[in-house]
Amino acid sequence: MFELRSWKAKLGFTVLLLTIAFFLFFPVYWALISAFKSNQELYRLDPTLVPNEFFWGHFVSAITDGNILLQLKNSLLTSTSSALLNASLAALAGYSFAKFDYPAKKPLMLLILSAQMFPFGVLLISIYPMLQAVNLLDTKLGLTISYIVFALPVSTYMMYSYFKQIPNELIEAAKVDGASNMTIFRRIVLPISLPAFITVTLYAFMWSWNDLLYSMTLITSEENRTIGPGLLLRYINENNADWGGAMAASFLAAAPVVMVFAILQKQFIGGVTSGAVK
Amino acid sequence: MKTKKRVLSSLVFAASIFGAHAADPQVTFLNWVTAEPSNQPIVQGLIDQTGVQADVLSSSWGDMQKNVFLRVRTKQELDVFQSSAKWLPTFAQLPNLVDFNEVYGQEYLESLISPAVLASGRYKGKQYGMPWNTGSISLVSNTKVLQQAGIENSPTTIDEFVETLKAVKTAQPESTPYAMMTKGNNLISSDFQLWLWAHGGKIFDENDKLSVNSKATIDTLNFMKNLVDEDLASLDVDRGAARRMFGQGNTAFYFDAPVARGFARDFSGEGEKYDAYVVPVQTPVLSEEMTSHSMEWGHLLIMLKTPNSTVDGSLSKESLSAKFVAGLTMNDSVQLDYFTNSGAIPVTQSARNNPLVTQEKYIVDWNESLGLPLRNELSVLKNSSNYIAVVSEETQSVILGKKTAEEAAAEMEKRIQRLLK
Amino acid sequence: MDIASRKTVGKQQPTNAKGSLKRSDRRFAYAILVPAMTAFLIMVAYPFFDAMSMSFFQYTIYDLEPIFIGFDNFVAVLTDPYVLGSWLTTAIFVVGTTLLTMTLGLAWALLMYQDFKGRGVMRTLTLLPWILPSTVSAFVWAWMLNGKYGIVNVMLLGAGFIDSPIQFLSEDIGAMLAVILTRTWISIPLFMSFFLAGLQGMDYQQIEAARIDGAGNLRIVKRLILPHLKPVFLVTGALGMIGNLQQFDIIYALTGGGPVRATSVLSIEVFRQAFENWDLGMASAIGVLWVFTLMPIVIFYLRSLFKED
Repeated sequence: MFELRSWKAKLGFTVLLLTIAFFLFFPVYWALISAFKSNQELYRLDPTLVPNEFFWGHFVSAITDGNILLQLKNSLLTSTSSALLNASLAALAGYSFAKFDYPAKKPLMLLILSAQMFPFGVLLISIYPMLQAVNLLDTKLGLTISYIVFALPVSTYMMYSYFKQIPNELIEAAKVDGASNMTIFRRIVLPISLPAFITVTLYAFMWSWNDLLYSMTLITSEENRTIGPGLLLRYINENNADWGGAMAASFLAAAPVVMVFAILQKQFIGGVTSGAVK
Repeated sequence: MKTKKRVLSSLVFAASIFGAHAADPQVTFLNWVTAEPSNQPIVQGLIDQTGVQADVLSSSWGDMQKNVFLRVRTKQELDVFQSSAKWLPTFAQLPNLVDFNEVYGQEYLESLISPAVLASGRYKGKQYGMPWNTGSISLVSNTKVLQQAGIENSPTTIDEFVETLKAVKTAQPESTPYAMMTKGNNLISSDFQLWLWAHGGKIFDENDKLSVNSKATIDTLNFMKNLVDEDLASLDVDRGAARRMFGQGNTAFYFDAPVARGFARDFSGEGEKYDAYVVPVQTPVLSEEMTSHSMEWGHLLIMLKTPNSTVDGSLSKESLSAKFVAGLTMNDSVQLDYFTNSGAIPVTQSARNNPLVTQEKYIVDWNESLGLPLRNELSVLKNSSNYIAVVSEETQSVILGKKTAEEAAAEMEKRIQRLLK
Repeated sequence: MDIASRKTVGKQQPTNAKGSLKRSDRRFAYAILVPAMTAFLIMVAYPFFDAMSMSFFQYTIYDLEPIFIGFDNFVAVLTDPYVLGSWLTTAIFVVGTTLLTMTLGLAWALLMYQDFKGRGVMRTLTLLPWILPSTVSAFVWAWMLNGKYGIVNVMLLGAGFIDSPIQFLSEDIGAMLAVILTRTWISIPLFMSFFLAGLQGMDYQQIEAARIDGAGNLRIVKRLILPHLKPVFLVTGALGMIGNLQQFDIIYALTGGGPVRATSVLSIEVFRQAFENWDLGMASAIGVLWVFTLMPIVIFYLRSLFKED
């Protein structure tokens, strides 16, 4: 897109590229390198750019001493199920808003979209006793349900704008053939909306995956703990600041999701293209 | 309506699968010690000795109050929980607390545990807290660092203390001679109080009247600020950082509980060999004739009135909860095990007199370093976290140079006054 | 199937005219709305109305039952300069982070749109900051900004910009900078994806034509690309503002709202009042005021989002 034949343009492009790349990637590099340093090397006033010696101790103790694998499993389970749940609700609601007309449509839509402005911390005050009343406190299911709050509004909007672009003839044609609304949605609309569905799922996944507030409050037992609070409790707390261990555990925690994203990256951007941004 | 019911019942059903509870009678015990994975086997070992089955829940230290209140308010299972001695006034507001005097009998408790130790669990005449382990926050010195700076004697006055720190800084320019707590409201306000007492001041005077806007406060704040300005203390230091710097020989002094030695072992990488360098000292005071103070510190067990605390509907020491608490706090072998494994000082007289404890030079030194222990003045107040925040914020403002000590002292008084109303 | 390219077709075809819908269609439309609405009512609407009523009560740990106190909580919030300061702090954080993220996200998207060797790898790597759990990102940045062992200080000292290490997390501006930078770092990937998506809808011939007319790179960005991306700005702006406003994890893990109150944004303040001070009435009052402060902005935004529909 850019014309980079002149040296000036080339230089400008390269400088900008390197600056932002440094900002984006250096922290990752630094964290990775810190995970491989022994404590002696880590707490030096003149840090080494490459570890003098690659030390695996932090990784070993991250796996053997704590519950990181369990916490990772909990996080993946709750985040994935809430993301899928969220995407399904959003797809249904988005389709209703995009392709049908009914009296209360606009207000209902505004209502759902406005949900994002309510402070999560305040909602939590009431969600806690509510979950308790149905025995869902300190359970993965309870956490999964609570996570819906985070992403539903934006997900609904993304699905809505995607569906909006599906030509009506497609639907009308199916209708003439005698297909029911549900059949049309499942057989025709959903399959061509897969990129948007994936995007919305990933988006919602990230909200729950990053959550600290809800899981810190709604989960109290070790067996249900998710990765965010787990890392915080274990590595950086009142008694302890184990940076090397924290970095090693962080990479272990991120690895599975990084792999999934590497695979779905194209779909994600594709989904954004056709969905949220018209 | 029907669908709603169906949804609800399926939710409940799902919940029962997800959160199934064992049918065996067991005590639900919430604590923060086991939040640290390495402590889990130690505490489980102690619990096994009590012979009572327990469902052990962990919470981080910082989330402890929140989790207790949420559980109690929403009527979730909770029989016994751990509390820091300083939180007792806050927890004492909970409904359904058990007065241990009613369970075990006051005389029995007094025959086992010294009055001073018992007092840490008493609130308005009720024994709501059962001491689990005890100690005090005291100044710990690293004699290895001090020797490198050519210092043999521990400082007794504040001036000597500052001179000592300067000597350490000269000998080891990259060091943080005194790891003063400069991060986290609880820690900052606790270090502030210790130095305020050393300057002869109090937040509340002997008549419980607010007296924080004083010369002693101003001197204390200036003293703390100067330490940071002269690089004798650093910003961004909390207990974790202090313990690490101390163990790695970058710090000569910091305030901590007796568990300090265990952390020094870990962080130095030298294990018990490092013990010789970890020496508790009296907190220096303004002038020689003044009394040195330390801050009371200890862990309590608090018990709630639940089916597990009663036998045939009334409180009983034969109840599951009572046996659990007694096992942890009054059984000497459990108490001594905890001591040898974690350095937690026992609460029963007999365990404290056990050679394991009395022949330990570190503990003897520790007890001598205490001077006159005082209670944290803020934590005894209702809604203490508000007061703690005020004191810590004003202290930080001075350290960061945003306010003069005079302004901060006056503001502290004003804001505390407002909260008291 | 490329839906995006057909959008013009879709636009020309208005949705079914009112009244022409069969009743079964309408019933279907309502039915598929039920799950999302139920979730909304249970998890958002009810808790919020609960909070709204709670804000008129004194309900601390010392009160076994809530005590009605009228507007006292609101008066307390509005007369406490320290709590009021949170509004300003929040505004600084939200606006600063959103602007910085949008600028860098756009710049990075433009760079990643250019064809060069290694672009694919870089695009994939870009997602990393977003994928790391935010607790982790907070750790990474806290470690880099550490006043004693942090690499940022080493670099600044080495380059001669400063004489003594900066205690980022212990100074007002430093701490605010730290949370803004960390949050920006995390959000760039998402924003880049949005801008990249917008760029992929560009009409390439227009650019070619402009180039033949002698337009330079900057001119093309200004005249063609930025106007084309206007809807993306709206969407990312809204998403960014909302996300940053609700931001809790990073600030809590990095600074806990400190030093003093330098990074005490509203989400931290609510958490503190509710789960540290146990003043549920006060926390609710702050939450209610928060929603009312936001309402006009949100309505304005939603309206501009729907203008085209």
